[in-house]
Amino acid sequence: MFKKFFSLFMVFLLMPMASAGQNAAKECSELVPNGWSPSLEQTQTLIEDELAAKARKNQRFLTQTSQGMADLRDAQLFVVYVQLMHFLDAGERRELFNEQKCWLSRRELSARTAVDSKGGSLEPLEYSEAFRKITEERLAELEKRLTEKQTNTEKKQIKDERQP
Amino acid sequence: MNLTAKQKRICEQVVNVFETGTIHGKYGSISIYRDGPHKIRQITYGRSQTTEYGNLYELVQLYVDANGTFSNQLSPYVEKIGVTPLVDDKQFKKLLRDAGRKDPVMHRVQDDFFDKRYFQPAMAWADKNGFSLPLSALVIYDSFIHSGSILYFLRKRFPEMPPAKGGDEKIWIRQYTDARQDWLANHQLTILHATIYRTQCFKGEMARDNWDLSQLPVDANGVDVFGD
Repeated sequence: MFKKFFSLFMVFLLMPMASAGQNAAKECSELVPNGWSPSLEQTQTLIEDELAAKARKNQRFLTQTSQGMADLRDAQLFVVYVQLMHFLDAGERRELFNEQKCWLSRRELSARTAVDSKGGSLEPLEYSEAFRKITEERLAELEKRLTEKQTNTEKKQIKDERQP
Repeated sequence: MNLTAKQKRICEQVVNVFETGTIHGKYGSISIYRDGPHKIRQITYGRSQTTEYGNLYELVQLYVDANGTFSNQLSPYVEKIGVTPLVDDKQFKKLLRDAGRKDPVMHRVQDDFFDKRYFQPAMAWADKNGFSLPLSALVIYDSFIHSGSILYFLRKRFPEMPPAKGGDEKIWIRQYTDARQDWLANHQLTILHATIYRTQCFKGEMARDNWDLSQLPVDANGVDVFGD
């Protein structure tokens, strides 16, 4: 069930955001319309609940669920990355872009390193779980930076409004 | 390893349950995982999970040669498998799914193929290392399906030698199963803890001394396996 919801979400939300990102690099100083802050939390809860509730978990279920959670975290990271870009000037955006590019390469390597199996059905489960864990760490980091930027912007706005 | 047809079926059915939750496996099952070359997404197909950049080419070629119901429609895809990404090709995936669900020829091709690719190598490893008991065959086959082999780092975690080097078969299998369970149950990737239903099943069969797999059913993750 969550797969259908997730696919629709990706099509309707992320495609315009990606397109917005490309346009912004050319001419626009803003990336995300004010107040647009999509949430994937309910979908995430649904998957986690299903994982916890299922009595007899087989390998296919575990791997597909893990892959779903990893994809979801990756989508959340993408959203936060775009939202953070919104608060940066041109130089900072370039820096974040390069930083994220390097991190993406490192993520693949780190996730691969975490796999012990030499093939078999456990291998993709090990990979997707490591992928999710690494992505969650990065997500927390970018969320922190986003919160800081948002707070600073709000403070600046209040200060500007108070000035005669 | 001289298994009877029934003992071999028990091994296959137990592992089918571990993998898919069903005794006969899911011949038409398709999953997409990020485990292709350079970790790109790829198709994983069939009863025992063959991959787009692994052995799917060979499996589909065998099916095309066997003149199954969907062989003509799958034929043009053979030369593309592993060369052109087919992970988003809806028609290809539908044909694979339909062949696996509806065509007994695909079932037979997969049974033969997976026997050659997974069961025989596992039994060759067992023979080479001096194992002869049916429950040992199940434990070893399961490791080949689950982790691709008997992982070397696990062998280093227990002292018993394999029978070919003078060790005791039952002690080796017990210690190996314990080491495997310990690894899975305490893995830093916590979702792996949920996979110990496999080793728990083996430990249950050892506890009732079912080394010849004659006491049926075998309780595989809550599903009764009779080997019929």
